[in-house]
Amino acid sequence: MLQSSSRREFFSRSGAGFAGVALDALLSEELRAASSKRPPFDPLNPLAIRPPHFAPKAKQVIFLFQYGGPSTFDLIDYKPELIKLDGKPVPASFKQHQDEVGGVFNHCKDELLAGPWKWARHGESGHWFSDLLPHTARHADDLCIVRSMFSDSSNHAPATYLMNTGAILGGRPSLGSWVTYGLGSVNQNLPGYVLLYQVGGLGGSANWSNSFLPAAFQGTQFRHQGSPVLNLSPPKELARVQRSTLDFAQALNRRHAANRPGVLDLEGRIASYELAYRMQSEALDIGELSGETRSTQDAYGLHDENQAKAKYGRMCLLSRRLVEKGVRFVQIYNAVDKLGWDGHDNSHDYHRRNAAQTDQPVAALLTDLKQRGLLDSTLVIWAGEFGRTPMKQGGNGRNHNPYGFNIWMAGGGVRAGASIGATDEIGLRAVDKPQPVKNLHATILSALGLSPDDLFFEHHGRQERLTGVANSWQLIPGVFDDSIVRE
Amino acid sequence: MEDPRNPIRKLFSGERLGLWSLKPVDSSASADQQDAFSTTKIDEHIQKRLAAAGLKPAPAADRQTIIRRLTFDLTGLPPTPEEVAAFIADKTSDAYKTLVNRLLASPRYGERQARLWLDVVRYADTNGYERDEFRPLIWRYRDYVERSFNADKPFDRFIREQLAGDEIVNGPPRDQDEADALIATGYLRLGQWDSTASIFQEEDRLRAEMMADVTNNAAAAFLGLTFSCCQCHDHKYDPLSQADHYRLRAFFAGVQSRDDLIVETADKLEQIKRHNAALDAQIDSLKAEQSKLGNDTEQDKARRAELEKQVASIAAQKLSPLVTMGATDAGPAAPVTRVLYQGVFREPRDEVSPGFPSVLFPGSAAIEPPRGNTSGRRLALANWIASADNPWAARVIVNRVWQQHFGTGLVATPNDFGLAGSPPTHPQLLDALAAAFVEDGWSIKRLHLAIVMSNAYRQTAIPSRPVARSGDKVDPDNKLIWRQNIRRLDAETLRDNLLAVSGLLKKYDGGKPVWPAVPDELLHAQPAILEAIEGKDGGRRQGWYTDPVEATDVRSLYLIRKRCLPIPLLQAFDLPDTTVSCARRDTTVVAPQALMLLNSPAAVRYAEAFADRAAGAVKKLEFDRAAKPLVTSIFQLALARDPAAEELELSRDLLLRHAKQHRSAGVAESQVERRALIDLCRAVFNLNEFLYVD
Repeated sequence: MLQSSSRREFFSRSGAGFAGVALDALLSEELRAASSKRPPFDPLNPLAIRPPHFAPKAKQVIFLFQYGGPSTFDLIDYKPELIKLDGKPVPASFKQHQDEVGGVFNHCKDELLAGPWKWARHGESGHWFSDLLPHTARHADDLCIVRSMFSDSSNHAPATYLMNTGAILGGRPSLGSWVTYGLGSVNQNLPGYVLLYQVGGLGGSANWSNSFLPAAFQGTQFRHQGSPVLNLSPPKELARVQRSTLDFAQALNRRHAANRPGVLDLEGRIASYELAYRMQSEALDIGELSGETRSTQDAYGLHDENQAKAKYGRMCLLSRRLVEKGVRFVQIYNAVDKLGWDGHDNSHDYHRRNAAQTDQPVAALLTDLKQRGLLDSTLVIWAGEFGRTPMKQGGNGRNHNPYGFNIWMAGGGVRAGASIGATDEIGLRAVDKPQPVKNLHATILSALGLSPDDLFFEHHGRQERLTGVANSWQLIPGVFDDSIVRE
Repeated sequence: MEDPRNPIRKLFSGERLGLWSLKPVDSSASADQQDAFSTTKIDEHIQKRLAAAGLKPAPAADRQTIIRRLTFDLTGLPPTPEEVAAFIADKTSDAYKTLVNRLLASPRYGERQARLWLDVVRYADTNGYERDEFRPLIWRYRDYVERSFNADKPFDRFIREQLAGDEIVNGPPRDQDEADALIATGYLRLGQWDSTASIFQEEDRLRAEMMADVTNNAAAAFLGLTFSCCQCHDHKYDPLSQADHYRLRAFFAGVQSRDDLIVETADKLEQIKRHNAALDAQIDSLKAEQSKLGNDTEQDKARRAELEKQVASIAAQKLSPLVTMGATDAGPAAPVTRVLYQGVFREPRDEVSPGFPSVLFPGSAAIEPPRGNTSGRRLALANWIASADNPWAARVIVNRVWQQHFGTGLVATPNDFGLAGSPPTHPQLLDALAAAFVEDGWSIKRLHLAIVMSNAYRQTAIPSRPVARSGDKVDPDNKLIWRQNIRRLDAETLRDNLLAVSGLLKKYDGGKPVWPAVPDELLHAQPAILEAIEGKDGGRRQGWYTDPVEATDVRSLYLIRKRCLPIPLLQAFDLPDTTVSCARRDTTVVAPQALMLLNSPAAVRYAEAFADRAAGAVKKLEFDRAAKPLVTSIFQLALARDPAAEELELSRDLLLRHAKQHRSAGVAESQVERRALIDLCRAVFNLNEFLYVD
């Protein structure tokens, strides 16, 4: 933990005391002095735990990113009107809105397409699920579904950047980076922000970039096979002399640092080599799934004949192990091939395949977290970059649809079983309580006890935030039982 | 600003209008100097402030230290042991000046300067976004930058060429200088580009983003102003209105992207034309013969086939002129620029005409098109920036060069000369340097010379304890420069250092970027790369095109900079993002860096090469006898100094112990000593001293 003085410094630097005061009024010597200081993280221990702004509901996050744009009305958003209008032209009333983001109508046929799925209600919440997600359906009462999300781009990379970094341009710190910057991490021997993917999202590493935040907050990839972290271990012939080689370097490093008192980076670098050494054993340990019981392995589908499901299952199981070990933010990219949910020509097949790969492991993760008492403090998020059109494209396909889609959250203090907002009758457009991605980010930060406006970083003379200009966001209403008190 | 009718005075008041960087550069300090760049003057300024604070400058660094520092600062490479020895042995009175001049004349100087400038202009070799396609020609801009610094092209011309090279040059370039001016317009293309936007009818969004991006970069790079902050509303700190953002943006309204800009000189173009015309004549006569042939006889058929072959072979000899990725102008009338409400491209409001920041220049800019087919807007902007008419440009570049030599600029925020940035620690010195720089003809090399000749630069970074104690007490951040700063090498310099010391570094004369191997799984990070691997990217070059490993041991400047896949070794050491200007590299310390330098295949390869190089210094690898020359050679190569007695002892001990360990682990006898030597070299590459410069 930080000393009280540095904690105070953190609060003043992160601006907790500034909330609600117009920034213009702060144009003073004070502000100038603050902006020239280094950010409030200890270079010797960059992941040191930092207290949140207010009492958190969740402490850790697992973000199940659904790359490609899942068609949520084929999965969790029952639209009887769409089923009724299957094969019919789009009623005029749905066309009156301008195609602002672009490309939704003119790339689709003027024909609605319903899925061939069987729908049923589940649990006390009565959430609807199609038969694509039989396992997730059993967790109906754990899910808080937001049915009225919208995005600002109908194009993969910008929309993926938006969901992961808060901006369609890319080049900004990712959600996971902001969260670890804000809170540090419990386990100092592992990265605070871990990524799992077989195929990442479009736009590549910019989706998990620390950007202008310190590099300690960058997403680190954990591999689901082989050595869990890149370059974790040296080649065999070097491994037997690793400690001895390190000891030599450290002896000379200490000598060098002793002649240069006060240069913190030199001390920090000596510490980083020890951390790297500890990480070798700790990370190897995390990647060792054979210690899990056979029934756990089976629950995640590790031995399933569907190889893609087994791979995704490994990633889900790894994410539980990482959370258990105190990693702050884990993100899994769903795609085990490059296609993801992106079914332009044959949406139904894409959804069958992706659902078959991910449904059971996701449900197993929720069950497992719950059984271990981790779900209350772990916020699980399931979201893609946008949804898909109810209109037909190609043979049996659907185009990207940024105007309305569902996401769900579970654990971490969210209202289990809740259903918030709605798209129109055919699932085209968010109509009840429409929510921009910014609001989702604000809600996630708030669950973690971080005040979105107070979580900033001075960069190029500007206070940069995940959620942009102060007061430009709202919490998604109804996600939490009681409204979180903002300072 | 004094004009009370200037509406900016109503918008912003008091302190904001007092912003230091709005005041004209005070040139009085340099006017009475004979030598425009006076090293003595620099030291006087530093000295005055130190004395006022009761501090004394640290003594000069020793020769070993200063040659390592200077060689890294000016060339981005370490000095060789021979260079160190020669400098130490040089007893002439101007030995140091000789060294400085040698380094400034080295082609490696331009490579170093280019890297720093490319940071500022966010250079990359790919488009970014979903497909992140390779830009096959943009390296010409990179090489242009390197050439310009090596030739010490006056910086004002360098500015003009990048912003308006196409408006300067009329018609096909007459000589290489004019060709370079056109290549320079690659600057206008350096931002990201989402080639899929058109599929989703998002061209308008894309154009708006590109315009904002180029405006913000030009303001940051050349003026040190944060125009990204006044895109959606008036600037929160500086007296820049939202309209100012769009007034500046209007200068770029006519930018037309061109991937086919011919950069062949007129003579060469003429030669190519003649060459091709001669070939065409041959082809025509062959075709004429062909048309006379019948279709019937076997003989005719054979002749026809023969003629076709000849035509193809002649056609293949045709030359096409060199083209580059650059920009030209839409024409005499640039498209209208409007203020965008909250910065949103779908919400255009009032029309604006091109204008400089209205706090100082309230009217519209005077624009005279240089000829009929171009608006002249960017030329007007370039001429204004590259002059003493604005208070920013000279200060900004002088400050960047200062930062290169001290780790921190006189203004610690080189891209922000506004109120939220740091004010100058030595305002008079900054102005004296800026004024002298302009007066002297904007020579970057002479600016370097003036700075590195100063006592301030040549101070030791590790003064004695009493000096350090009093300095730390009064000025812990060393703002007054009572000593030099210990600095970490940036990512590229670290890699270049590894290559140079291990003896692997290959000379590369520029040209296409080089693609080093990266782990497969990183290629899988991106669906677009997978698509290319499967040959399904429609020839868009979305992939990763690994070169043979020997070909990749070139300076990091020439490595591919792919926006969506930074090279892991470089990324670990704070490679900046390529979407926005980077004025100063971060130097964070994280554990993955240690893993990278200890365990990555590249680092292991460098250590092996280093060991083999060092082994060449002795006849036989017998550690009881050869340890001293071996260890000495290793320290000289990697750290530009001899090992201390204790270090020698520790090194010898490591060599003997590790040889024993390898032997007992069953390593072939012929490899035992070599393996131990590799261990030592690997350890040395992981020393703080290898990565930090005093």
